[in-house]
Amino acid sequence: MADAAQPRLNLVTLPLKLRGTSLPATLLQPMTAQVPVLIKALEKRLQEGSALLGKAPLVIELGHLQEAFDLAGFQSECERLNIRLLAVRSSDPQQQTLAKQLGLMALNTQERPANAANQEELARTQVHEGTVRSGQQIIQDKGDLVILGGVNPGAEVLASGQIHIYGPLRGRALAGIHGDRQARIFTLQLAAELVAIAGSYQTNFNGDSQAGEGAVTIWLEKERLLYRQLTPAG
Amino acid sequence: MAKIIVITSGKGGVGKTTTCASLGTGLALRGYKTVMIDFDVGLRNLDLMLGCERRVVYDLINVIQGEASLHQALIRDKRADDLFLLPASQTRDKDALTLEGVEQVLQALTLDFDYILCDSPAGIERGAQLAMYFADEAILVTNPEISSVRDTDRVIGLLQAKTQAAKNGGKVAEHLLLTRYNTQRVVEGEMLSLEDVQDILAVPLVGVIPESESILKASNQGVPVIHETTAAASIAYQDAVSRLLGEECPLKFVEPEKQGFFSRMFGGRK
Repeated sequence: MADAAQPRLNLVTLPLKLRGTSLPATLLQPMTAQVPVLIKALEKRLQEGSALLGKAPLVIELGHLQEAFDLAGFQSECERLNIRLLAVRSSDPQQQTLAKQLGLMALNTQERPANAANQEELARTQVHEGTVRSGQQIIQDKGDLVILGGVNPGAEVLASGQIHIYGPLRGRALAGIHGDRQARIFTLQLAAELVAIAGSYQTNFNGDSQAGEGAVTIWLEKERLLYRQLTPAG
Repeated sequence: MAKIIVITSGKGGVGKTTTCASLGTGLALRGYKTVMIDFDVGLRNLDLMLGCERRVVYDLINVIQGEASLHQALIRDKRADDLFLLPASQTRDKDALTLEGVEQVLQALTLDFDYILCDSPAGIERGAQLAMYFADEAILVTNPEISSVRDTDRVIGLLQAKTQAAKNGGKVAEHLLLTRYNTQRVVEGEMLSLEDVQDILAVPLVGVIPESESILKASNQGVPVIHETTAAASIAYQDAVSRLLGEECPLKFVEPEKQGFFSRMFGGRK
């Protein structure tokens, strides 16, 4: 019998795996270069039980400070308070060198570029004028979709956000197509072939006969699609 | 400039060709020079409806391929002097139709005629799309049943996307024509009502043609039903022609008939 401690075959060909990841850290942005003031504020936060300071490593950002900052002094105070100062973020080469000398990591200020407000990454609302006919498909990949008309049988409307239908929903409506479980569907009349929110779908979703008459909203709760009338029937 | 009207439906057998023959005749009888083009290449029927099947020599494909002139291919109707037919080919298939060819034929016809009616084949394929491509207006022939309504809905979507008007940012004017309407069966819940159909399609109504045996009879005799002036279907088609010309007239044959003693006793539909 083979010894359990000595595997007959070395099936492990990879001794380790490397993966890019991003782990939580707290970013401290000092509004003043006076270390005692900062430490006092930090002590106060610690007393209040700030979970961020207690558990996650700290990165201090120095790029925007005009005055000289006593990094060594700050580091020793952090040690005293049991805060794990991990890195300095600054574009100033002097501060970067100093940080390395103190055994800290020196990070550049370059963040992942933030999306400007006018870039299309921002969620938008698409408004479709008129009835969506059988065979037509209206997709709003990022944002909400408003249909000024009905969605007929055989038509399909999809949005990553909410779907508002100012007419009867007789076709298919899929909201939250990228997984937004908060997305909702609103329609003036519910007689749908299929409704889906964040992948949870239900076919032949007509509600009961009473709900079929008025405007309803549909939402997702515990993997179930629920609906409620918005206006009294009749 | 002629007005180009496509008669289409998506679904087959709903009455496109019957409608085309009667509307074309109706327009011609009112003095408008009208030509009907049968786009149903391979399954031509419009010549039968007009009773001129034995007079077909050249057809649309011959004209497109330059084998015959328009003048040679056009057939004048024997009952209405202002009505002409450009028949489809029975031996070729729809691939023989080209967009450029259709455009040239329509351009030539538009000089001489007031109305060009394009009788579309069923379906949403090439033949149907070519028939609708250059249209100014569309008559959507629909039966009061769910499958027909859905197919018409699909065709409206195509009209709004795949026509020259749509590509130039315009719109093909849509008219709904409900055929085979039987008020009795609507009351009994066997058929969709006019309201049900309009609720889904939301297209202005140009006419409601009652279900009638006179239509079948007329088709088999090769006489468009509109000629049988006292028949309900004929009156309904005449009204549809009026509405197409912009006149207002009240809808007929949409309320269930009150059956009199004699019709109850001796029965039978007109």
